[in-house]
Amino acid sequence: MLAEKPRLPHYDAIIVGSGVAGALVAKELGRAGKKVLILEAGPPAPVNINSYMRQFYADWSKVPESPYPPDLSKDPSLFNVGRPNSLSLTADKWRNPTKSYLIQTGKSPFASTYERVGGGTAMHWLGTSLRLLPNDFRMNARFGRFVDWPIDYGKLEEWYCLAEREIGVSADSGDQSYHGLTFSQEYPMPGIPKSLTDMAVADAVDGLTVDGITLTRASVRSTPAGRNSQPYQNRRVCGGNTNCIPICPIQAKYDPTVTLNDALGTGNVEICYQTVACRLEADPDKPISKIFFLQYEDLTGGHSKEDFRTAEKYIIAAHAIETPRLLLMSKTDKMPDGVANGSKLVGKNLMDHPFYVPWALLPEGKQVFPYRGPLSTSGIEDFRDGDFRKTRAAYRIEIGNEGWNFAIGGDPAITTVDFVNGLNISGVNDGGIDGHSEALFGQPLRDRLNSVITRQIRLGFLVEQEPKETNCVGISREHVDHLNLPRPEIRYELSDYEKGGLLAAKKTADAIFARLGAKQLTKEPDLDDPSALELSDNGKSLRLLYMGAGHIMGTYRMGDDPKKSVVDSFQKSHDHDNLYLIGSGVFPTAATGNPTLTLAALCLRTAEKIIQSLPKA
Amino acid sequence: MTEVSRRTILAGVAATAATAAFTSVVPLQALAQDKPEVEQIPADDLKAFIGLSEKLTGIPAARLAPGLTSPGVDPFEIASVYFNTAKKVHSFNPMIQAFKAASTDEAVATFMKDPKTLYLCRSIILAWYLGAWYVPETLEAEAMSSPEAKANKLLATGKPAAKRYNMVQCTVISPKTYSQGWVWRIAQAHPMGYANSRFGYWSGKPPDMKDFIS
Repeated sequence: MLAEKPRLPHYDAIIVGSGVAGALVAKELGRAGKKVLILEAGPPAPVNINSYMRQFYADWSKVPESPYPPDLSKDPSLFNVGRPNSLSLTADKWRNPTKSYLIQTGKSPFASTYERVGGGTAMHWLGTSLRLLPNDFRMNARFGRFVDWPIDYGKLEEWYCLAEREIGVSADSGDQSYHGLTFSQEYPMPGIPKSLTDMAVADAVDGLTVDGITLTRASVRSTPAGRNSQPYQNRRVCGGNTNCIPICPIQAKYDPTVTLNDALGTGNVEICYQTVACRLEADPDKPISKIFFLQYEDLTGGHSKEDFRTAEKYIIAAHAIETPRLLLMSKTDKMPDGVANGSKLVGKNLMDHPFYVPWALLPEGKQVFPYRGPLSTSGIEDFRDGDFRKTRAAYRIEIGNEGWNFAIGGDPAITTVDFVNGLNISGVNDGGIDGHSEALFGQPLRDRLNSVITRQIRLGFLVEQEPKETNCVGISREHVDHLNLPRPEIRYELSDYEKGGLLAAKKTADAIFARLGAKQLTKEPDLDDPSALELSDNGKSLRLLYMGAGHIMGTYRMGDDPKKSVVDSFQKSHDHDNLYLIGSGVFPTAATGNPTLTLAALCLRTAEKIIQSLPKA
Repeated sequence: MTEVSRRTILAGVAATAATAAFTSVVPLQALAQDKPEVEQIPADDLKAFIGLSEKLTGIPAARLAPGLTSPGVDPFEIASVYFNTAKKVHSFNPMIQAFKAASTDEAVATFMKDPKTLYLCRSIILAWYLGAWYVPETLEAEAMSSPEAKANKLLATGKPAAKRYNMVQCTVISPKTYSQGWVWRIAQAHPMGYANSRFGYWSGKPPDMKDFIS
């Protein structure tokens, strides 16, 4: 498909990226009558979802990236818009530029991925829409760690309410009133019902004390989710397809194309797909004067000559890796560190929620029937806050409804192949003679798989990550994409703060599984697994695996001090008066809540500010 | 509230359309474009394949191939798809002819002892369960990867492997076959991304396994 040229020479605002951040600001500006151009690097979402669904059904890996272009198996340098993917994190691939789009040069892999398509990465999000806690905004004031946000919970609360309405969040405010959370408005829809797995965990943790915190049945709370518990925004009620990630087949889960369609429907917003912003032009401390872009026809084809457009406001919403990439690619002799980088903090303080995912087999007779309902419906939030944050990371617990699918990378297929072919990749097939694996067929196979799969359980621990300047995004000097633009270069490792949180998480997992009477099958990862972490528990060493949570944060942090931050609390650059850098890249600290709702709230607040600062029509 | 009616499973699209008010219409549309390449298969060969598949999978033949007993109610004709996939393996036709001559448990036991047919049988089981094709040679190589297995050819004793994305290599035969995999029904669940259920069903227990497979 031919990329369309922008129709006007000058706009009120040009937005880079059509994900949740870009789409929200576009919609608000469009509704206020402002002329907006969105430059989207990737192709549009299909007219209906069927082509994405077919791609998903046919893909063997079913990883979060599987429904979306480009092809996961090919060399990323062949594509005009590369992207990281979950399959390129193994020992043989993560440092191989022909397999991994991100050029990873750090000690450990940055394990999260993102999409470059219309709608952005929240096409494959889970929908979890937790608010951050009051203390999450004041880590320094409260715990003497890291930095405080330039905005507090009280100021953001009204924007959270609006974001929950835009996304369509199902939850109960009474159930979410913990660790100081307050609500001026009820959620727009009632909470999502709990799964059988949730209820089993609730029974098991009742009375369990970990790290001085005693849990009750009520500690298992229905997770606020951008999934419809009632018809909402002309979208259907959740059908429990157990597929929020990578794609909801019936769009009961919010995705940014919902907001993007509203934005385009205002008649004031124009979008150019397959249009890659490659350079911002400005002088130091002066407004941005132009944005340059390249356009391409197909993912591996040629591209147009560099062109540009101008606007009153430039809004970069390309997520926490591509946004710093664009700023750094815009460097000139006058600005050798790139645009908006007087603080030299662009690209620094990259964060994620290192994700520990232990799994277990429940005892005979304790079936919880996974692979039913949304991927996750409940969590335990008690460990998200406490004095322990002075010394180690907090975490939240996500309870999975998808058995071992995510935990072992592809169940029920792996367990099925194990019992058919006498293997034991799952760890559960050791019940034969002398602990050997069994190879079954016929009714014994059928009955064994029923028995095992209906008792699968996994937990997930999302661990707070400390902001560190040494965890960073740069641009590669050596490796380029098919547009000849430098690819993102990442340095990343986990600190003792996160390792402390992971160790505490592991102990909690062990305690919960013991209470469930479950046989834990979580294995120590191979030594050569790049995501294997060595931990020490009172001198005893152990190894565990962290995964990425897909929560990319922190590379253009917000703050009041231009020397110590890149943008202010309205996500406006300290250096360039008409430049906004929006999205989870502004988070000064990571907390434990999934970032989408908070970034949506911040973007709605920013949109109002931008509208106020534009001349009235 | 029944999560999945027996009729829905039996009759596929027909029943699903009848309950369209609360079913996932979109995935069905996605599958409708997936035209199977059905070559003409001798009827008795296909019947033998389905009979053998019943013994290998533990799923009644009438459920694997509803069209066998009730012509016209099997819109997916998945048995033909798997037949045409499996027939590319040399030992397939001799095995089908042997089963046609003696459709007994003993015949199947013989297939499951001969490496020439053992791994093909496992490929066929996995096709029915997962909708994916695992090449017999790959299964043999994986099963024989441990020293004990090499020493004692047919006692497969694969060892735990912690490597991630360590799935045995396979090809999803088609988008349609993924959603028709029997493992999901054996698990009393539904293919991920392909449910036909009402909001909130996950708070209650599913019907018994027998309601899904018999």
